[in-house]
Amino acid sequence: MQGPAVPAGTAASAILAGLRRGAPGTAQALVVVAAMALWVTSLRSVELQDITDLGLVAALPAGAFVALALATGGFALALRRPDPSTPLVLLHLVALVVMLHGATPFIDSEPAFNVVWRHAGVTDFVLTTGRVDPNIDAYFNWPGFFFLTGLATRAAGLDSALGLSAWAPVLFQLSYLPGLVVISRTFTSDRRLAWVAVGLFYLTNWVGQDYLSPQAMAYTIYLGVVAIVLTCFTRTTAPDLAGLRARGRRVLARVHARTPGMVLVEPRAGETISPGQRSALILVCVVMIAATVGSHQLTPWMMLAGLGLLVGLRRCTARGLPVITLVLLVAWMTYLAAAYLDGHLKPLLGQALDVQQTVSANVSGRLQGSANHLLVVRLRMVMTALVWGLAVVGAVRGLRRGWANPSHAILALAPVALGVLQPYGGEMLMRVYMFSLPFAACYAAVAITPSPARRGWWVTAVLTLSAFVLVGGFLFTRYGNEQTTLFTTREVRAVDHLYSIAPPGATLIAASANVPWKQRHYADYHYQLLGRQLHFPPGRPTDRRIADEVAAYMAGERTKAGGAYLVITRSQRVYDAILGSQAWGSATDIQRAVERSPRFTKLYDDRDGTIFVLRRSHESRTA
Amino acid sequence: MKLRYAPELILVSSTLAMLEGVIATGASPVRLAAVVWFLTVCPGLAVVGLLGLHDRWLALAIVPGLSFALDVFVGGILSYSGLWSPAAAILILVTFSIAGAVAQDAAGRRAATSGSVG
Repeated sequence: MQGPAVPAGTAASAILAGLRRGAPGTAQALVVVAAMALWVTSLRSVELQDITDLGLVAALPAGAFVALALATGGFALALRRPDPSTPLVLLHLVALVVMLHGATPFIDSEPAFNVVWRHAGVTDFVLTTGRVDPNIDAYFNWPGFFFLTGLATRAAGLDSALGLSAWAPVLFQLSYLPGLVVISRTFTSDRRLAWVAVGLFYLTNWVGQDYLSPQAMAYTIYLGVVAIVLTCFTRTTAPDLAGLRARGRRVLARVHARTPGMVLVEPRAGETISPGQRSALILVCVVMIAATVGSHQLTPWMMLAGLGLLVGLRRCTARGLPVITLVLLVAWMTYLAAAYLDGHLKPLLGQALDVQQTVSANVSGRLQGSANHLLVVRLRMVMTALVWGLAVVGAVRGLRRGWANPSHAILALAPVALGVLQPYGGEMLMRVYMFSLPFAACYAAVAITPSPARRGWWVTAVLTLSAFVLVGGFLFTRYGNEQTTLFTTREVRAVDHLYSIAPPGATLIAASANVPWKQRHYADYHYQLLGRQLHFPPGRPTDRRIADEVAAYMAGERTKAGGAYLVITRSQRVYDAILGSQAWGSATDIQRAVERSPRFTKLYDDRDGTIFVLRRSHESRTA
Repeated sequence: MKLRYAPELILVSSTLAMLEGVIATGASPVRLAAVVWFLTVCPGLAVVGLLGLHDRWLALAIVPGLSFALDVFVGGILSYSGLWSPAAAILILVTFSIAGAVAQDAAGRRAATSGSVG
């Protein structure tokens, strides 16, 4: 088909105009790609020994900071218009995710986090035996995630699930992205504000729970369920909420009495769905919740808290979802996690509502260690307080503009209720922050984003400044423990050697949990930690006293199948030095005491890892 | 090409890429990427494509979570029933994904036919 004739000059002008329109975006895209390349090049020059107790930031070369500045500034620049280009913003977000959450594989060839090694071990157990044994430990009572890692490990032809770990943080963070976009778009119809909220999530999500773990997978599912509820089961589809809405409006109108006549509005209604789609989506939610119930201890309770409050406050029309969640939880705990709860229910219930213990475990218990580590911990608290403070400011600012987003406020506050219930091993405050962050970030975005009436350069300046502050804080808060979480090849070799000499059934002992072990033979050995087993009267014991206690403990831990092996690695020593050791001493003290004692033989010493056993002549005497 | 065919294409091409990687010997970054992509996207997309959601961001938000959930279910059912086999689990997920692609294609054709008749 022949179209209308277009004069050559007009066509050329149109092309040039199009190029001019697209040129800034293309230039920005090229800049962010260059920033990523610079980031990768800079990280590859980082030496592990240059990382200090202040974290990765101490070892970063200047190029890394330039790269981050380019990417963050570019993100702010991409948001200069009220209707930003979605591909350009997405490109910047993906770049920031890769840069901020995927730094570790460029620095260290060994998988980070001792917990990841344990998760690989549980996967190995599932793969080799084809079953789960709930009597081993808690992982086997909530094993869902390990079926997934088992499938991925075998299908990818890997020897161990450790091969999946390098890029897991980036994968999980990217899997959160669509859910975050939905959450922010149900919060506001202002597209720029929505993208700022998503960006804020990534710049302030310092908790680092995105490694190869059940909680990272469960969080993806959580965001999916929340996205469905906020979009398809919101109160806008509920027929009986007019009265409540009117009452709410009257209350809220009093709050912003300074702008009389303003009408409180909510963003656009969710997706209109047919009864068939509604049933299908309920089923999808149930499947997702059920998978979470069998995979992670905490996430389904967070789901229950959020869904329960939404339904209770008549913000959600899927009234059966909290009930179904509760039934699934009770059923799982009664039948499939009974082995774990048999031994742990009493202490768990004893900790419930013990606010003092929760605060102690989550706040004061963490305020120990080296001076630089204390700075990192305090920065984490400041960052958390900053986000929640900005969220409060944003909520008030939103109300004054006439916006009402009660569902997001409810979901931001719901995790706090669980925070009081359980210390969760001193990690509850972090988890509460993580689960409230997608919603708190929406309100915080309102606080920092200038009004749409402002000029583009002003918006860019404010967002750039905010992003620089947050990224600066992120480098300390997210990567502040990097010296303890990374492992050297030498210490991995030491643990490999331990497995090669210790017969199955032997007891393997370390000073603290920060060891790259258990990635295989998860149930073939007895694993023990000296830090929990040694007890001394107040005051510093002598080296001889420590050696005697260690010898007595190892003699008692010998099994018929094999002896007891003590392994002290670099990361244990660093962990104690940075995060604080037992009152009686550290991994370094144990190593020094054992090396000086004639009661031990050193079987292996590779600077970063040392293996000791009791001398035979001393075993009988000690026993 | 109309966008409504995209989910079916993604499902079929992702499944084939994953299978090709699995059949090929030895672990490689490409095989790892194909497997991770398949397990993260395909089972969920097989269902979400049938829901007829207009909001693409919502569909995208459901896909990874639902995929993980279905992966966990298949693995869990096989393990708890004493039939654990990674190969069987992958085969079930592949069948599920291809069935989803076929069903979406059929639904798309039905919609196109009724649209042209109407």
